Amino acid sequence: MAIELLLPTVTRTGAARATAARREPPPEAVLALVDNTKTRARDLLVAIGDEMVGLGAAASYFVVTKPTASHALSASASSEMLRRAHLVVSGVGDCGACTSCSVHDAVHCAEQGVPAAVVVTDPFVGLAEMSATRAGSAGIGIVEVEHPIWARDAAGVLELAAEAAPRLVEALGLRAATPTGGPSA
Amino acid sequence: MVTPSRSLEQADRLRCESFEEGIEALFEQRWSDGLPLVPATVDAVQQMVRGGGRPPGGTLGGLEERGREVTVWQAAVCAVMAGCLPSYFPIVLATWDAMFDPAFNLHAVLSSTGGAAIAAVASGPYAAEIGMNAGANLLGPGNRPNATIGRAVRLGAMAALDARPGELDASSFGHAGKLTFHFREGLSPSGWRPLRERLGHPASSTTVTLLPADAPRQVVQRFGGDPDALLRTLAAPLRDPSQNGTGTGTSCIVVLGPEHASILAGAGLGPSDVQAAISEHSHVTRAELAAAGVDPAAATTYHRSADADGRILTVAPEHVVVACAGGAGAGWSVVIPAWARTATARPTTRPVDVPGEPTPP
Repeated sequence: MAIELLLPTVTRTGAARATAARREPPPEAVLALVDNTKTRARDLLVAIGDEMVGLGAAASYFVVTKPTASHALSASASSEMLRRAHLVVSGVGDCGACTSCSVHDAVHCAEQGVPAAVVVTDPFVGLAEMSATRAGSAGIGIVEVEHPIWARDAAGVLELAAEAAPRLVEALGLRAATPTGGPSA
Repeated sequence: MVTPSRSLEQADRLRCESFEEGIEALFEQRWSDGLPLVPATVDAVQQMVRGGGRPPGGTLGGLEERGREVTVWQAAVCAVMAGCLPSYFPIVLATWDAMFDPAFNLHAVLSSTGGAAIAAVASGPYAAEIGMNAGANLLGPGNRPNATIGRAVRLGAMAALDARPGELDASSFGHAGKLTFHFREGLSPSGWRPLRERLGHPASSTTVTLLPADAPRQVVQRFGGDPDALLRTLAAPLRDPSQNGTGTGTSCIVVLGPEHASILAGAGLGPSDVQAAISEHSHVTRAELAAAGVDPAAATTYHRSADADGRILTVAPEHVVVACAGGAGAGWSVVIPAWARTATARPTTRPVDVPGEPTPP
């Protein structure tokens, strides 16, 4: 006897979220680094900040540390950050919830028109891509580094940063200038 | 936000030539948790919806991070597929309500590599009326509501919120509690109020209290009737440096078996005394963590600071959920540690709305 089943399928026709036009960063761009508190995340982000200043992609940077890796940045903290920043790099996605929430941080910034990218370790790239799509995407850059970062020593973190920075420059839609070696904020 | 179909009539349908073909099709289309599903016919889903007493198009909650919402009818389809009876659906819906409490942080619970389960203790007469097990083997097989209610919400999370392995569930290992993890609070010793009353709900009500849970730890203490020794044993799993919550300010459910509950009540202790003692005895020192290879200085955002005596809090008294349940035995209880600290996610409680019964004040 034929039967008809109901499926709990979602539809994919919801209204797209509004996305502001990209705001091109000024020559003296300020980079915000969103530290999700995972072990070594801050070290890696700061090293990336130094590299990006060295590449001339930003004039300075500052770090915003989230209360936990498993929440997205609050609306107020994000607004405060975007008052100062022209570019945003979030991370480091080195597990499940932290990857997804770091992606969400970057997507939120991109929706405001601020070029944004997220740093994730290689096993979580697929999760990051799926999370970006589910969160509305907004064209964030996803830059992969080797997993796991928590087991790296200081030299290993610097090595990862040196590899990731040029790819972040590209992912953010920037052109690297002549290295300045200038100080960071 | 991407939203699901708003009405039952608009739901996707699948035509099969037989019941058996339907079971296989549900496997092929990845709706299953690995076990066979009951094909959700239109009649069965409509009966399930009626069992919950809420409009089928009503929204139970959403996760902006996933661009997804969950409706009553989606939850009903999953409840049918899990094997629930319509009378179980009020507890399924209350579980969804508690899952969408922001304090539960459902997005993280469903995403984490830590493999969190959704453990739920139902407290109250309706849970007993539908036959939920509070006695022997309550966390094991053999009881339909225990097995299927938790399965229904996990299937819903997989289907409606993309919490599937390889998609937005990144669990490194997971554990058996991710299949289903519902149970009922049993009788408390004389003088102890049941969990729902201690949480501020009327005695006549039924509630579900959720914990984003690691795997349960069975605890044995059969070496005498000293209540202090028993409380130290119950706290011992929480002091294990290999647990994610140890020394971080986490939460837990302590399910007291009948012998242990009797010893504690006989010593004049109440649930709040148990909460305080579990908190007290689960403190750890930096040296104890270091002896197990855990260096709080390497991950300072996770562990709490030590107090003046060098002790680090693992769980505050208010985050210890105490319930009595389980069968008679040699002296067993169960401690269910949360999978993370309370800064990430906390236990949540919601009342069960039973159709046809007055809403408790």
